[in-house]
Amino acid sequence: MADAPTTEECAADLDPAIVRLIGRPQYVAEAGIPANERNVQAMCAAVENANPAWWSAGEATVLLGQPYCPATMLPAWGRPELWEPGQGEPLRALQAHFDLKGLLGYPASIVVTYTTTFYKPVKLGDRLRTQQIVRRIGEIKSTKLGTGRFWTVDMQYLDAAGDVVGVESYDFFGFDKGEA
Amino acid sequence: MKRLTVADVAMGMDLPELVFTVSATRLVAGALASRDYSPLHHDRRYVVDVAGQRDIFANTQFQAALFERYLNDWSGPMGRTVQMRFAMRVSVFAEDEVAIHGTVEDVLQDGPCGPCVKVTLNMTVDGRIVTTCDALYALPADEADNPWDRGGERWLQPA
Repeated sequence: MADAPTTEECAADLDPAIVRLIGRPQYVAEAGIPANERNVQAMCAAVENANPAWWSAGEATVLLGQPYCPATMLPAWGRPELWEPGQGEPLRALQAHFDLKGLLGYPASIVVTYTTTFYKPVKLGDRLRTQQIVRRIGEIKSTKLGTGRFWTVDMQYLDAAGDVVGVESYDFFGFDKGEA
Repeated sequence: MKRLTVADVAMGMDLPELVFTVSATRLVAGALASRDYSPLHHDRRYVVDVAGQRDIFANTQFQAALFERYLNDWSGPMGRTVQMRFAMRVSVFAEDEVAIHGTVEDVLQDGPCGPCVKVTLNMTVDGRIVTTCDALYALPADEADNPWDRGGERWLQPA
């Protein structure tokens, strides 16, 4: 299994304005909601996870040493509310991907693979910031879906100390169906 | 309470199967718990009329949580997820009955996060693979060890 992406790459034929996006944090968001038992237990109920550490902060502390949350809850701590006072047009999840898709001029895209890596455990009460980073944009390729490019966008989650707690890494293929 | 240690695990070991019905209620509950408000995961009219799908379907985090539950069931509460890599081939729709199978591909005694195991997880519906997940999952070295204490040089670090 590969670790999270370690190198930034780009195709040689890209517009310099697009190249400048690679490796640069975008959509740096303020701290989200505190990690909390309500969301953890709602998810554990949905999938029937009976791990006692997820149903009692006291039990988690006894078992794990701290009131940790399930690792896979990570994205929940970085998502915005559905609406907040004063909010304008809501951003789409992983806006950096949609920006890139538009800049490259591809009407369609699919997620090819999705990798999530957990570097530090999240405790109840932790608040995480997020930022999005375009990691790589490949050469033009033809596949059975159409002609397009592969690219990778990371969603990073950072704690109050600025340490990367986890990364969701999305590999996309953006394409034009008419150019298959 | 079961507490698996790495000594209990061998390469090639099959994990017990889990069969789980992804009801519409569970699917919506999971989407809201993960704070994913996309209509694809709760609004059947939108999904059918606009997105052209047959029903609402599970978001990625629901699938991740279900795989994590599967690993927790196997290991007991001390197991700790390091990494999951997904290939989602087909959506998991409301009322699908999924079966999850896991196989231990490798046992890593040392290195970042060790001891840990590489597990391949297959989620199927009617015998067809809908999602595969390659998971790296830390286990206790022995009954006194706590994988949740690992950090620094004893855990995977970001690039």
